[in-house]
Amino acid sequence: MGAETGDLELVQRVQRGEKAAFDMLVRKYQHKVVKLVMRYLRDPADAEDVAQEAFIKAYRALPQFRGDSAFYTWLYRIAINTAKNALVSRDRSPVEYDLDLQSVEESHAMQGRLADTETPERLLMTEEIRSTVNKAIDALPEDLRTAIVLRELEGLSYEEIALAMECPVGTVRSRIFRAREAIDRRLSEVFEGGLGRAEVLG
Amino acid sequence: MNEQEHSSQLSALFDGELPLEQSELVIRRAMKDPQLRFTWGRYALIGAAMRNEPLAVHTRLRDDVAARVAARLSSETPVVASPARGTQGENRFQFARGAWGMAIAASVAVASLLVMRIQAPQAAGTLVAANVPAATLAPAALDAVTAATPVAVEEPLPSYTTPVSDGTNAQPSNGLLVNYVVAHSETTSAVRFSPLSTVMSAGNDLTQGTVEMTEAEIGAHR
Repeated sequence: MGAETGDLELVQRVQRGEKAAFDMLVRKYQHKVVKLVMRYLRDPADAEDVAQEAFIKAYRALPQFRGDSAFYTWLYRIAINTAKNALVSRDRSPVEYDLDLQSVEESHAMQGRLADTETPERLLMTEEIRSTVNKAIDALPEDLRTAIVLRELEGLSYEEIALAMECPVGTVRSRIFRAREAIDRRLSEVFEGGLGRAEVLG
Repeated sequence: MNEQEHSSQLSALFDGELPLEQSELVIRRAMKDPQLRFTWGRYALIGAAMRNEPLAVHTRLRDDVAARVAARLSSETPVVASPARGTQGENRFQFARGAWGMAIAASVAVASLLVMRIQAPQAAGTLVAANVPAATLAPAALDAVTAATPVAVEEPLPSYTTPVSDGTNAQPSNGLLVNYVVAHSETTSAVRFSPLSTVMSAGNDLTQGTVEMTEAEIGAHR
């Protein structure tokens, strides 16, 4: 089991005509795709436009996706190609040399430069979210904090976390959920009515 | 199941750690409930914030990438993947097999109707009703047979037993039976493809187990 399993179920639903399943895939990967595209386009607004375009292309190409590779690998390739095409159409050279997916995942070198092009409002918001999340993590009981860190930062599976923490897989699942819930509750206090709570897509 | 449990399952699904049978239910629920999808989106946001990744969020969520993609796709016809090539082949094969099955069933039905039409006048006339051998019937009972009421004097044979001629119930000639069977083969597709006429002309005795008809009846079915 892994992220691929859950993604594949969503992909199959999209392939059966359920658009809402694609919405879940976009929500899950939008941050990662924007991060990836920002390796090619410095401006966050441009990166979001390209990310949006990449998702639209992916949606239209999904009937041909057969699951030979993980969905996110396939999506990242589309995003990279879309970003490169965007650069060509704007008659610009890529900001970065060609990157493979691994180096994109591992590199954080762009973060400082990105901040230079953020709008003040956007910068304030993202920093506030980060600060809120970090404070919420610090306030977590140790077992919850360890579980969520091993999951989100180290990318371990539930089974691996269970081995590391010497507890059943069901306990890991519960701890990760409780950690997310606690962080989400803290976000709701800071962003009252925001981040989807009081908004309904038109 | 309470809201907590649903969210717990959603969290496990996000990590791809939910068993398949539970995933189905959670995804179906999330398809109907936008709030669950927003919660799902915030799980992604929390992970991205922890990893210090750029956050694709705006003051208003409707401006984020997911919302813009949803708005763009709202006017599009949902994509639907066509079945795999192998599956299409199997479907064609199944269709052909079904069509053959229907053709054979129709042929059998036509043959049955013909047999029933042949047997009906016999029951009211000279032939024995319900396949009871004439030799087993008393003379008084034969009168009853003509009134379409079969009465067995002795223990009747199974209904599928062919009456055996004892000389009192004359068999039609072999030539008449050949004509009948050929005529029958022309009206039923199930035997149309077999070299029946060749078999008949070889002088095989097909009288055993066949229906007895008068010459007039054979003519009526040609």
